[in-house]
Amino acid sequence: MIKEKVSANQFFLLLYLSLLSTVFMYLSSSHIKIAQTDTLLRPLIFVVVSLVVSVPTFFVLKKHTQLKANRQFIPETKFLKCVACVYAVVYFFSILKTVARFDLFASSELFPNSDMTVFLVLLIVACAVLSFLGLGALSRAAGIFTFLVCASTVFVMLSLSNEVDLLNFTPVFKNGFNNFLKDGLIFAVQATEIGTIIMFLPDIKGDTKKTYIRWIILSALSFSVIFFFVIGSLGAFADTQLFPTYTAVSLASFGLIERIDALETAIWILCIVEKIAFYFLICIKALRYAFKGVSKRITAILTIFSVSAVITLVSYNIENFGFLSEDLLTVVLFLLSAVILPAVVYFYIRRVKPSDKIQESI
Amino acid sequence: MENENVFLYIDDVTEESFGKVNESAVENGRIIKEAFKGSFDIIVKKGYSGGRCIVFANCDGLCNSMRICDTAINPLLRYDGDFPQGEELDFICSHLVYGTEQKREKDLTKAIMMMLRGCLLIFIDGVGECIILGVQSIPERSIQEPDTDVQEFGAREGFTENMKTNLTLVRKRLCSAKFTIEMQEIGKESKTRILICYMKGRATDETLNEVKSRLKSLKIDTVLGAGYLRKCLDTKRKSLFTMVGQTERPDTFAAKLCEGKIGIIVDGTPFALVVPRLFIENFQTLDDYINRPYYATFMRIVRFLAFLISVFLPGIFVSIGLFHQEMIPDDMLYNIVLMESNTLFTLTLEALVIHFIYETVREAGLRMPKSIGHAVSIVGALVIGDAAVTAGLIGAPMLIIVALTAICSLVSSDLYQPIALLRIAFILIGGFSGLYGVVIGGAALIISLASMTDYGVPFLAPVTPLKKAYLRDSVVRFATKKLGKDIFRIKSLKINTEEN
Repeated sequence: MIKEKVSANQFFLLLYLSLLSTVFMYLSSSHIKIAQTDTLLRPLIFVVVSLVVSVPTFFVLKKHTQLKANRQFIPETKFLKCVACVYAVVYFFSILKTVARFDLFASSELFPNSDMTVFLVLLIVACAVLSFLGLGALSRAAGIFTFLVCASTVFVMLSLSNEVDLLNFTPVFKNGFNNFLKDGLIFAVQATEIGTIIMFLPDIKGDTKKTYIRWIILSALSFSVIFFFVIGSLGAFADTQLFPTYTAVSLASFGLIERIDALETAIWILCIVEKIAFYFLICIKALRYAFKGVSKRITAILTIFSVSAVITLVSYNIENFGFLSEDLLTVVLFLLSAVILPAVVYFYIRRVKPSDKIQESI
Repeated sequence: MENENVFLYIDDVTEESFGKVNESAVENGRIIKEAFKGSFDIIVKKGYSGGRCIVFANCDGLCNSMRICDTAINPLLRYDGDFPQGEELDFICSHLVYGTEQKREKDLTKAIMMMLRGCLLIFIDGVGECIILGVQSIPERSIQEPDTDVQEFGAREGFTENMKTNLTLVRKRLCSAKFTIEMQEIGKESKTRILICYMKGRATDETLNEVKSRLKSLKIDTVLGAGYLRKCLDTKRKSLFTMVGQTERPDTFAAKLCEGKIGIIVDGTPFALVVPRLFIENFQTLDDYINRPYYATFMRIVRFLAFLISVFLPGIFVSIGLFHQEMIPDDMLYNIVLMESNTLFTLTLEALVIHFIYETVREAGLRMPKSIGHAVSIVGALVIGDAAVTAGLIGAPMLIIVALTAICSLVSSDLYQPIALLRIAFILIGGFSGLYGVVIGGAALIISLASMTDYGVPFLAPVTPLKKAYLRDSVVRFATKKLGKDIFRIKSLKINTEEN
């Protein structure tokens, strides 16, 4: 069977879009402040954290390269199937978290007083169907989406430049270094995308390590630029807004065009579609690995059904599902996907010897 | 269970065989007469020459009668000597019926097939072989300017229904030994001849073998046009878009072959197929390479915008009108509301109705006799366009949107079919879920386009996956000098694959 491979650049563009959507939907809350100059430095912590937590993934990558050189693959065992199940659960929750946040965004900013449940279910179904098209399709589309997102973001930022007031920037570490560190760490753990790399190692071609580092740096720079305009244009007002990035974009105007936010929101939705479809792909891939006999279609239908059912429940009882936006859940998902599971996989596969039976990869 | 495609798939029908050529010329004539019993166009004549019985068989209308008389019947029947024993055919071919294409055949089935393609068969008594003379005169129209694929500054020659003429038109443009042609017959009943054309060294063996194996796998009764082969050449049958291109122009066809693509000329069709076709090719024309690069780039951008407008504009208008009125400037909104408030239907329904009427008028214009085409256009434009607005059935803004969309959809004529369907889909999406639904639909469209790969080449290449060198001739068109630095070859766009 011929298997399509995606280049490392394309794959990380997909992850870049996914990360950008996190920033666009970044929530301000009572314990996370945005209107501080420290926010611009938070991406630095993101860089450090991302590099540190990716160590187990790099070890897996190294082992994978060694095995590949011997034309060997990671053996398929019950233990690894259990790991795949945990991965599926982690990304199932990540989908829920993303959709729930989008629900909040749509019902509070886009269509206030409207019931978004049907719209969300349609979004979930559309994303699940798109995930069927595979990693190649999603990564290739990511190239076009990245261009659109970057172009529109630059356009919006330029339109916002008149609104930026340097007086809105507070002294650095005004709230103390510990708070900066805490906020920075909470920001960094949003990047559950790091955990996906290990899942797609066999499908990526090219220098994964270098591209990973480039991705981290590019993402951090992008976040800093976005935060600069948000803080500069909104000032302390940013902390009173549920979605500060959206509020900042609403201020932008360009000549006759006064509602740039609609255009920008439309472009953000591209990122969200891409992100949810990608997470669906991971869930389906992990479940198919864990339950070999079950067909792709059944796995997908089950995933769609369960996500749709839970989202409908969440949408109607949003007050009971506050944990979805809790930092604790984010931290748990991040640690599991980016650190614990890759580390477990590495310690397991390092025992694989060249003589072991060749089987399908994870 | 009965096979649904029983009309097309005829595996259970065995091919007719007539065996070998008999030594008795009369018997051969009888077999042919028997096989085509009742067909008055099959002519079998008997004569005597050199002390032997000679039978001539041909298909009337496909051959030149004067040529048959001049090159075969007259010389043979007027010959009053004897044929050398054992060398009859050599003697006849070299001394009597020279000056025309000749072939000898022992298989009667093949000989009859040649007769049906316009050749003359000559059977000599006592010889188990026949002579086939190329005296075809198949009726064909002259070479004309193509109706589709119109170019401002390009050649005025288009393909015709005759395969040989088409091949000549391509050969004229590719005077190279690398230009290779392979002939195949497809269709159990029609036995349609197709030519697989490619440039040796530029087309990859994998692509060529893939094309051949797909054509071989096609089990079909009749092939009456190039379109019949699409279904086997295109693996993305569920998609609205296709990676099988077609052209009516020999110059375009030759250019595609030079890019390393595989061309297929089908006998009886003025359209040749080219695989694989990229999405970006829908916005490129030969005129782009004749015009100045700036203008060519500008026109490509115009074509691409026209595509976007034709797909998305009605959907966006409906969604803005229903859900996001705040996006429209106040004065414009006032006018739109004023005009739309008098109409019967909602915006969504109005858009669907007008598009339905437009497609009906278009289809009528396409199928009806040309002489009444103008009448239908006038009725369509005046009655539907003007009277319906005056009567308050539809709003003028929507009519303008549909008219603009209709014009834009004709800019890239090859994309008309997907555009027409996508437009309806986006009107529905916009009507139900607003602009954000349209965006989700747009994202789905882009991802589905990105998922298309055939013959190892992604549909959206060279934009994604990005091939920087080829961007010089994509949406933009650089000067010829820069294009020449890295000549476009389809094989360099192939995606990475690995055997699992």
